[in-house]
Amino acid sequence: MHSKGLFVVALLLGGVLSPSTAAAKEPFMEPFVEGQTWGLEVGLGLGWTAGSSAYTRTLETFGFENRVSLEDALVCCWNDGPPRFRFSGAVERIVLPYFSVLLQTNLLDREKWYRDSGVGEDDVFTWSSWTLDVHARAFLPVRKWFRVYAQFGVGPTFTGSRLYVRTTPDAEQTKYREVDVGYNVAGLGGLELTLKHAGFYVQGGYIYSPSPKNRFGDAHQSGGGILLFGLSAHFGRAL
Amino acid sequence: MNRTALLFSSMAFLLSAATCETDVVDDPGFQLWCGEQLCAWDLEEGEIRKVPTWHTHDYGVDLVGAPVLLSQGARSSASCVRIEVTSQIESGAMVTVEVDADGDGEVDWTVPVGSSERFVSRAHDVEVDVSIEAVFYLRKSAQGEAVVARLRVSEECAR
Repeated sequence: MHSKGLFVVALLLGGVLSPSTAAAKEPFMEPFVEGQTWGLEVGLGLGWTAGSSAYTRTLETFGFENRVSLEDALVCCWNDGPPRFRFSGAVERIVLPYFSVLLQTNLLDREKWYRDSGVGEDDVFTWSSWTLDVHARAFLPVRKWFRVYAQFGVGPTFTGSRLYVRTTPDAEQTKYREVDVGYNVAGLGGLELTLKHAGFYVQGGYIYSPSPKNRFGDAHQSGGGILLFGLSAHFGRAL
Repeated sequence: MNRTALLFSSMAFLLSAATCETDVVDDPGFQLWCGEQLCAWDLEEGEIRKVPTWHTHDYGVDLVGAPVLLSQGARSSASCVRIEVTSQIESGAMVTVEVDADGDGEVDWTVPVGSSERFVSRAHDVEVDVSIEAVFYLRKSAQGEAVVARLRVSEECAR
């Protein structure tokens, strides 16, 4: 436990050390990806979120139900609901030997709820949540081709929703779109193995994102635990 | 009938048995509005208003003042009905669902709708033979805020 704490402190301190100081203290460390300053990351994975929230309970009160989708059926039998598909994309700028900033987007929850309308087609309510965050990443370049890192990010969450419902005597349903803008905070960690320009990474952590919200103020935690596998690319002049 | 056809017909039967709920009234969600009035429900007394509920475009009916009486004839008969009400009713505003099972003008069954500070959904099973002439009433008898978002009457075949 004590050594883990020291490791985290070392990671964080790495971000504020100047290159010359770092080199003096850790002469065996090579600049990660030979000091290239730009990176791209694209990842796919799974997310675990609480199955029930004040938001979804309100949907149930109003007669909606979350029918099992094919995606859910493929990964059965989890206590808090099945894991959900997740996507992540990021642009990284290494600003110091052990420190970078990222603009990162994550796809969080996507859900589809149905209600027996009693007047023809079922009412349908869908939503999907995306984040757009600025992250600060402290990394430890164990080798020039391998690093571990921890990062923290904040930013807005955008949840687009669609309600398909009949509101007039016409047989056609009307589609109502809304966008809920919330916030999120993310704590992530990972490791990356890479050649000079292309590599592979694994990233995991937790995202807290109380969005969407309904008119009563009930929110759904669209984030939760996340585990991603992805590809990375590095380019740009050395620091 | 070959084996495949038998399998599919058995599955279809099981599926229909598992979801055997038939709505006895139209527009249980008070979604269909013809101007200021509900299209499927008759306003017999009082004033109503279209109001948003959890979503701007998922509506409920606000029973304004008292008395207010909405009615609708049954669209099918049933031997037993489940009445589900989703509502937010201020304490003191007496709201009831009434069933005139054979359409003779006499109320045969009254289901009180409890008060609540926020929207809640409650279900009541009513063991009464509902004929095709039956009429269902939503009545508010006393002053107080009362919004009903859903009044579903369905035949329960599961018993």
